Amino acid sequence: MCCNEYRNDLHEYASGKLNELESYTIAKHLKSCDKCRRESKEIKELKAFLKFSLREDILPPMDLKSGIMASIDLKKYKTVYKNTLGEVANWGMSLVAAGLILLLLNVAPAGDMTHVQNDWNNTRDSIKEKIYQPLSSISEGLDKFTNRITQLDGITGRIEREKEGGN
Amino acid sequence: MRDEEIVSYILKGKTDLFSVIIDKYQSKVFSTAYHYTHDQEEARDLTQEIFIKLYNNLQSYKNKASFSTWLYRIAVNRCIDWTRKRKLQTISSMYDNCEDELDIFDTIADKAGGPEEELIKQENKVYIRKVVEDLPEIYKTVIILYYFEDFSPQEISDITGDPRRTIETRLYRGKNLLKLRLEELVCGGEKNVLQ
Repeated sequence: MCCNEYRNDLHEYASGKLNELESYTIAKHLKSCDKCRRESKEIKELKAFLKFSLREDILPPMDLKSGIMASIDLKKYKTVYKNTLGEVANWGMSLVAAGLILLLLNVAPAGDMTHVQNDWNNTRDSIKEKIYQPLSSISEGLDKFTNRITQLDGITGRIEREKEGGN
Repeated sequence: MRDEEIVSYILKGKTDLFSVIIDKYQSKVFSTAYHYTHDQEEARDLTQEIFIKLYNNLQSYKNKASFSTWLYRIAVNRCIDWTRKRKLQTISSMYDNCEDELDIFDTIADKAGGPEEELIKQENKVYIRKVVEDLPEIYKTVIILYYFEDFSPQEISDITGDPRRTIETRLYRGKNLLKLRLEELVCGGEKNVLQ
């Protein structure tokens, strides 16, 4: 490793935040490198100098906290939480309703099964009709449309042939 | 209770718990603001703004970074904004500096014993602060966070979002620039700041 790479860690080293192995590696390098040792010494000295020269008790004002608490909207997140609770309640109600419907369907009359079967067949037929009817009308429409295109193609072919004959 | 847990409680409506966050971080945020402003009242306003902004944006806090890193990012960005706006008021700030020096004389006059030494120290403080204040923005922030607030380069990198290598480089260059300007003051014979 060259000096530049060690130098990239000197401030981290001086702040004591490197892990044991990294610190050991840097300390070992500092023993053999005058340049990096001087650099590391400078960092520590400047830190001490600035702290000593500019030291003063920078304490926040006593009423800072109360001032902030008075300025913020304490209801801000209470509303959000209330809405979330409301949503959960709605979901709960929906689930209960769905459960009730399923329960009613499961407790269907078990006595006259033939009657129930007939009803079901009738319903199925009417659903089929409702689905098939519109589909067949769409299909008819599409047939008409393709026929017209074919006819049109025939007409344009005839016109082109007449043109060629004229030339 | 961890910060992240407190935040989740606040977001669930226990907004009073924000006072716990203020208790925990107000000293460091105020101190950072003070290192940018050098004025108690300005630092107070700035700290207040930072905490209000923090509270109003709690919903956008993602657990990707630690809460303290996120908080200091908001604080440092606000302080940098303040500095930029302040630069536009250079003339009035010159008057402010003059007033600062008058305040120093007043303070010293009240103190018993060694008024001359105290005067030199106070003057030195003003000049050293000025040297730090006049550093280019990219160096000033890292110098304040490293030398005054004791953040490590990795922590500064987390706060500013710049790679750690960049922070180390800025600290290296910033330190050399700071040293050079302090030496200029000493060698120029204007103020003996290194005493």
